[in-house]
Amino acid sequence: MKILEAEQLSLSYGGRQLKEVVREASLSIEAGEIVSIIGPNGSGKSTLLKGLCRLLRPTAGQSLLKGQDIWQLAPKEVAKELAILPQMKSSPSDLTVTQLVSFGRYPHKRYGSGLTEKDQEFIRKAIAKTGLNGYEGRYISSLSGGEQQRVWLAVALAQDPEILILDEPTTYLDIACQLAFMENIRQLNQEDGLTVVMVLHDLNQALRYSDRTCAIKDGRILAFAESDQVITPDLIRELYAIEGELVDWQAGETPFFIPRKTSGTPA
Amino acid sequence: MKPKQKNILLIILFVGLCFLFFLLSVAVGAVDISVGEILRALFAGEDTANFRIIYHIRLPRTLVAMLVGAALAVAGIVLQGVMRNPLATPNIIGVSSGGGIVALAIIIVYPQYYYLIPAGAFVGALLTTSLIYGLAWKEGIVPTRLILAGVAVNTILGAGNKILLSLFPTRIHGAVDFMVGGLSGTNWQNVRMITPYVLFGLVAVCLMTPQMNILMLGDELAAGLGLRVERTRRWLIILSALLAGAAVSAAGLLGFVGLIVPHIARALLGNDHRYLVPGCIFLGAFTLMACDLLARWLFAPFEVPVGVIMSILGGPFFLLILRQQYRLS
Repeated sequence: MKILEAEQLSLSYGGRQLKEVVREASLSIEAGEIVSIIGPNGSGKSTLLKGLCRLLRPTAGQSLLKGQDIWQLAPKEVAKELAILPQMKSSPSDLTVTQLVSFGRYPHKRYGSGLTEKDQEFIRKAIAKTGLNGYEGRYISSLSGGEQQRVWLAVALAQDPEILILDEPTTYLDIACQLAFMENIRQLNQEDGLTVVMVLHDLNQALRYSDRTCAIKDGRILAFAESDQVITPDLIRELYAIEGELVDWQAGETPFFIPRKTSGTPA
Repeated sequence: MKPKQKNILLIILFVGLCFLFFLLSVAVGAVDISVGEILRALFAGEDTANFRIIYHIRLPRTLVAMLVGAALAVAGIVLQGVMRNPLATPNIIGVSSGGGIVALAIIIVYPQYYYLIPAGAFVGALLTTSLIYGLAWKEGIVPTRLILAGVAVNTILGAGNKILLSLFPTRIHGAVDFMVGGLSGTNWQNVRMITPYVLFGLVAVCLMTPQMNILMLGDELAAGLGLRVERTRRWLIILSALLAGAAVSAAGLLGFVGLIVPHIARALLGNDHRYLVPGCIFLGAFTLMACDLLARWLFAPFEVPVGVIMSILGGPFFLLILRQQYRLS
């Protein structure tokens, strides 16, 4: 089933001097898959992600959530199906983990109603699924970067979404936290059937953790296919202007992409 | 003790302080009046000389102090949240001066339309806030742009105020009080004039506290949780302009209440707006009553405008916040 689609989506920033960042991008995401979006800085990958999930209104085309124009839906209705973990977020330092995670129930709340037993259950589950048991009463400011990122993931899970949108979720994490975070995502995908769409910089993470990869350059989709079909020396040269090769290191395991050098002026 | 219980106790304490200072504010002045007499005047309505002092002078003044203090404190907390900047307060980002110039124009040029002062001040405050918000906006509010735009617009509006004062030199009686912010000469007319605006604004902000909490998490996260971010922000700006405009109408360009009170409240109650906003209402009312009392008592039998007291306390406070900010960054 197509759960999230972009149809001829064009996206721009800025008021008067419109700068078109994404041009007529079309793609569709199947329920239950993990999709990575890769591309050089400024290629429009984060912008495409924002257009897909109702954060940025398109100048042309539309994005469809389960076949419905996402801008025709109420924001809270969208938030019940689709959770976003953006790059930029801030938390008051005096909130505890449980308090912050409980904000994830906001889309399910009628005005002013308190947290029900059912809400508490979703909050407990979100905390358990992100490995934050025992952290419930800790203040956000006392947590490490990796732990904080897990709390933000728990906020998204508390929304009880079908789709999870992640914008460079591992960028500021150390290597252990990156690995743990990606494993966590894969587990959520496999156990709960969560559909995941994420922007990644690390090609090997895209290879390893996503079913399909979308390569974007200069605001246009260059390729969208199985990850090992997209992350190939030829396509990566076209995308980033670098030379590299895929190395099989063990039979039956995902190969690694090893970058060698830049190929002079970008193609 | 749980934070929730602590916050509720603190808010009860603020309410208690308000009540205490309400009585003090009515009792203390050129003529000292005992609490028994106040209660008799309030509830029995005996028409004595003291009753007249209480009823016609001190009571309206105290009520205006409470309303203005609460309005400015809540306008401050709302603007801090909307602009995501601890220094964004009504008088710094020009909301007060925008409302002030309209109010001053009515006071000086068309005094017969005094009843339009709050509405005019609201419009002036709203236009100024929108202008500054627009100037500071560049794919999000940039803090330095916000402060600089506020200073620039404030300067221009200040010049406008001075032009008014120069063109109508014979009518500036009361204008000095207006420029620094003061409560002397407030009467029941002032109370009636601003009460509907302030009460509406305070209730509406209280109802928006869950949204204000979501807004703290950052624009994209808030939008991802299903909050209509721009619409929420627009409403909050309108409400803060309403509150600041009402305050300016009755007390003039009273500074620093919207800075000091929200910061103290935040330090004591934390960042949860469900406690912070009610806390600011009572702490704001208390602070302005207490400072007005000080302004009346300090050089008795003369009194200084309460705005002077607020500035003396506010200047150092501003520096303290700057220091904290630099230590954090």
